[in-house]
Amino acid sequence: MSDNSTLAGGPHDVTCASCSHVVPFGAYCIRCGWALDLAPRSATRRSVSEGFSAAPDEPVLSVRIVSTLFPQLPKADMSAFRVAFVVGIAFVVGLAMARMFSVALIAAAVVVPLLTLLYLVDVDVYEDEPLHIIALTMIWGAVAGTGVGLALRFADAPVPLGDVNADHLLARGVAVPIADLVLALIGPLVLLRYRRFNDVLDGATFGAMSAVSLVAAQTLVQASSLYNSGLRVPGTVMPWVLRLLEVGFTMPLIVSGVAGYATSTLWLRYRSPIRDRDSLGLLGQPLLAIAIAIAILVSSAIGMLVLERNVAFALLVSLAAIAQLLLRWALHIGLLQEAAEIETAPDIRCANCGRTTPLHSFCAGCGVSLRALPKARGNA
Amino acid sequence: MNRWHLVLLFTATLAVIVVIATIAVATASPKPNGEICEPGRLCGGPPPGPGLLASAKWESTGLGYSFEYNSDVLAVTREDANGVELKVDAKYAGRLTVTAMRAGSVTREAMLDKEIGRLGKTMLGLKSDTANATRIFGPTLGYIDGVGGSYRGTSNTPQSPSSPVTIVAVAATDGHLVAVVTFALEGVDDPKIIKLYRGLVDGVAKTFRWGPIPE
Repeated sequence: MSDNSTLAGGPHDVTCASCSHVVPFGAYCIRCGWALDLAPRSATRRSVSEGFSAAPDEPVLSVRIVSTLFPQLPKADMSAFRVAFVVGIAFVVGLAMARMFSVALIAAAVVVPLLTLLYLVDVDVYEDEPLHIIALTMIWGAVAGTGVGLALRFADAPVPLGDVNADHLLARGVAVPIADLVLALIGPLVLLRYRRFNDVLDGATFGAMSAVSLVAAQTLVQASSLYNSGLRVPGTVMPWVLRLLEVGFTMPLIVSGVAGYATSTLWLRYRSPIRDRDSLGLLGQPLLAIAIAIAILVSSAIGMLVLERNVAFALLVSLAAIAQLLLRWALHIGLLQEAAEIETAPDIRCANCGRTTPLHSFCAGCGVSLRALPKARGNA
Repeated sequence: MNRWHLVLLFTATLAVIVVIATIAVATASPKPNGEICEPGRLCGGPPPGPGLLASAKWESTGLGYSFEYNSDVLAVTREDANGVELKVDAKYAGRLTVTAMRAGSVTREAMLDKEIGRLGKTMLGLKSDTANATRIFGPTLGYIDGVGGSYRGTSNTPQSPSSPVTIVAVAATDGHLVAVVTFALEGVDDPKIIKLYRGLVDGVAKTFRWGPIPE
């Protein structure tokens, strides 16, 4: 089949074995994204091996950073973002190996926010109001992170050297992570009242954007006294490399995952049709989602305070994987549920595969969620 | 935008940020200070400071040793029969601890390692200080040769690495006791200020008395 072939409007409609809707013949169901040549999905398949709505060739329950953090990227651009991630890691590790720890810290803090900005530019998701969105997510996150960073830098008690005391554990391990999450959610919550941003995908994106910029700004401000220590801050290299990978990658993945998950449940609860509000099950209850988000953030902070360096790093990697899975699951269910609401409309060209498909929820040719593609490119 | 243009744009932007950060950090770094003593050059005596003005005495009720400290700058925050922790009450955050054990069960080297390991728990990349301006030659405690030196690292928090830390640690034994003095100074990277504050340790080390262990 050529890339320009038309998949819709064929002489025979078919009944999808998974959602039971009558849909145009194609490789995938335009309502639920199921491969039409497969048997009906069982509950087990749905939860374990089903294709992710925003990237059907990837399983839902798998840790795929680019398609989870940037779900509206066309497939063709995902490889570029993966390469950019690797370039970012190479920059940070290279600077650390050269013992330029403070510069490496700055680079680590900006990698994920920079990629997020690039994502917004690339997919042009919110072409009508980019400044409005960026102001209430990334700029809000940066301002809030700067405030927290300044408070930690100047108002907090000196970092205890040696044994971690209870006050420090409570402040840095519990209070600050909770404050970070609450602040990261405030900007996106302002956007919750706009009906034009009523997709779960919108909520998840806003939460993740706000959180990554908050953590980056907080890191840059709190570490500001290191910038006076010269290009080569005294210290051994390997502990710094691990810590920089935490600052630059695992922590942004954790906060973006849990904040995106929390905001997606809020969107599902307050922006979805009533019948869809329980589609995430217990995990879709906003209060529980926020409690899980807090538990993950607090666990990561306390882990860093009390565990040995390598063990803490392993814990953070595990928590980052869990956070990304929660976000991915919420995105997937949100996209599936929203698909059922839409009536079929005239054909469009899929921004992911380039083939023509009815304007609905999933591309009949490649199975990608059309809602996970840039609005400017003609999705549903 | 072409997908590889994305990678190029990202790489170029990150490179620009790194270059700007490098210039900014290099510009903000403390300039070499002509007053710091260097090997092979005459040095103008110890730097002036509060370290030698000891005005209070602390005595271990459990192990009998004692020392004097400058109570204008140092204040006791925690103590027990065998040791004490004093906090620097000045512009920069610092902490001085003195602790001891009966000799026999532990060597001075092991006690030093234990203290450095304890302090290193909340620090990143702690390592021996090799800078001529701040390293320590011939550490002593109560006029007995000991082991120890200067160490540098960065205080670490879950939110971010935070600020530079300098640690001075000296351990020695008189055959009956093994004692260790540690001093951690946070947020200072200027060798001149580090040396100034380290005068506090000198004051403790020079007034340290290995008294008889109480029965």
